[in-house]
Amino acid sequence: MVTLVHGTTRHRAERIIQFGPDPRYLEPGGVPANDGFSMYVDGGPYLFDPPELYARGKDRQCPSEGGPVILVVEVPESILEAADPLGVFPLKFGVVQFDVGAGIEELLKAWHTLPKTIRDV
Amino acid sequence: MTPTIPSNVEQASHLGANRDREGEFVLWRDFKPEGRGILGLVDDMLEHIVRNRLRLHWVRGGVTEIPLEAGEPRIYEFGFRNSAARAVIARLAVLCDDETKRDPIYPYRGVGDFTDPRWPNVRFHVEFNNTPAEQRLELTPVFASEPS
Repeated sequence: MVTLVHGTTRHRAERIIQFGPDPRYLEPGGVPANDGFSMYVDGGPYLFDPPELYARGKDRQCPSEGGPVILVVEVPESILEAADPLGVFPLKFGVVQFDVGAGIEELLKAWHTLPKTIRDV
Repeated sequence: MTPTIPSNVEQASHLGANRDREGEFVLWRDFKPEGRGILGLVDDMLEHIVRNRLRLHWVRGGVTEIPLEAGEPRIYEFGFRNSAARAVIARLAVLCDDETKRDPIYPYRGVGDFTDPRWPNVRFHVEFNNTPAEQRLELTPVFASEPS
């Protein structure tokens, strides 16, 4: 198992824990999108900004969503492999990108069995 | 003459921008990660725009290359999943100077600059939006005068 993290708001994290990540999630005021679900390997390396910064950015965009948090999920390596069929997001870079047709189906199938928690920022 | 920056790919086609020619290597379609992943695409993209003196206008699904000096803009479809495009923008954002990070909703929006040690005489100017609602990247290499 690999520990993955996702910076978000508390309300979204609670919803994700309950229902699983929605690759078509629509932010308040947003337009329909299908951008998948991005996670980092806990502890990095962080190819982009660290998850705490993304969490704070979402909190500033949506300040009524309970504040910034880190969603933490333990994911089997077999699911991680399914998320990168073309080698665009090698695990050594610390980014795991779940998209439709690239790992999100495997992740959702196993979601309710995976250990999950919310970490304060 | 400063090239017109199309606001989106469809508009660019109305401006007479060229589409890719059959058989040529197109970075946006033919890039092979080969272990370098998204970092390799960013490295190759910077090299491409420096060597060919291009600015980029990138919106969901399409990249427009705009010559800095003469020539028509050219439009390319981005051949990878949209999350890869968002990752490219996120990577450029993190390379930018601290000024960029002062935007209240950074890393989802920002304006900034960075340099690459491969081309010390080039400053890359970046303007981006990277939210689910809007992905837009303007990337311009600014060439300093060569020392005499």
